[in-house]
Amino acid sequence: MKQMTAMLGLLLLSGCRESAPSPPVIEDARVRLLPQGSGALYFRVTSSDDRLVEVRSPLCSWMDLHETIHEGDVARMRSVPAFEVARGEPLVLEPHGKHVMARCQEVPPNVTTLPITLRFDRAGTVKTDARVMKASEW
Amino acid sequence: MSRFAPLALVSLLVVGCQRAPTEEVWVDGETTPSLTGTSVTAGAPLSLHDLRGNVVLLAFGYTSCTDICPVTLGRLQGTLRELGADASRVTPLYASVDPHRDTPERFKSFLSVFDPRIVGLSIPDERLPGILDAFDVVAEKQPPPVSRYVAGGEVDPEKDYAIDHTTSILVLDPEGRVRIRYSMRATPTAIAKGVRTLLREGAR
Repeated sequence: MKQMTAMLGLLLLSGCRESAPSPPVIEDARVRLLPQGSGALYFRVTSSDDRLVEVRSPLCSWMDLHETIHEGDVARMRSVPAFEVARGEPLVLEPHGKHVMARCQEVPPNVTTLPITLRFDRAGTVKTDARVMKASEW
Repeated sequence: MSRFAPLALVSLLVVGCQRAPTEEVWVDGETTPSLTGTSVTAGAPLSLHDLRGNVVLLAFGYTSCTDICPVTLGRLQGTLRELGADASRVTPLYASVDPHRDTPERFKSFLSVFDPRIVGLSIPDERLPGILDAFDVVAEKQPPPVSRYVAGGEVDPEKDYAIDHTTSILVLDPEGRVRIRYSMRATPTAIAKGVRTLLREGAR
């Protein structure tokens, strides 16, 4: 009986303790860069409950979280303060939906990857490289 | 009337009320709107009237549009590829709704990464509202983004704004009539099929 109580106690304790967020996993990071420096960045994030609040790159002068909203056949691009990620539900940034809008005029020609840093409320910063896409790729 | 009729009707209504636009819409083809501007590609005036005899694929956008427009141009390219030899009877036209930023130099630079057959069209500011109206196309300038990350310089209201706009590809027949509107979900294969139908019509 004592053993069962102890085990039950342990179980309850482990359930109550807030587990540290596992580091977010960033996949399929890719960026469309147009000749005059405008860009759109896409990727997929898998993580514990968290919020993506900022993305930056040393080669870009600004980066803004955006969502394209479709109203009939009109596309409206809107700035958003953050992207929520829920445990078990990947955050997907892809063409015609959520994306990071950027102005990156310092990117040398023929570059194949763009270094990026993502900042999350709970998990902190995560660095990765985004593959440079062909302009018309989707 | 079968007793399933009310259920069928309700199902139809529910399906019909979906917000996503139909991929392919054939329009009545009565209108031959005029569109005159400057071909950025040729550096010379260009009007739709000059293109009669060809099927015209018409899309509206701007060069600072990074998420939607490059994909639309990719689909125009894909359509040309699908058409093969028939592409010589098609003019893909990309008209800018952003005369303030889309100078000929910037426009040419933007187009350089796409199929060279795509013709860029500049429309003067004062003519733009009338043209948008004639083609039933929306273009609404928005305030600049509130940036989450800005390094060094600032977001520039003169340079860093987005324009809400219609994403459809319009298809005009060789007589200059608007005949089909393709939503952004329509594939190059579907668009090529519609184009071929219009090309065959003329051959009758």
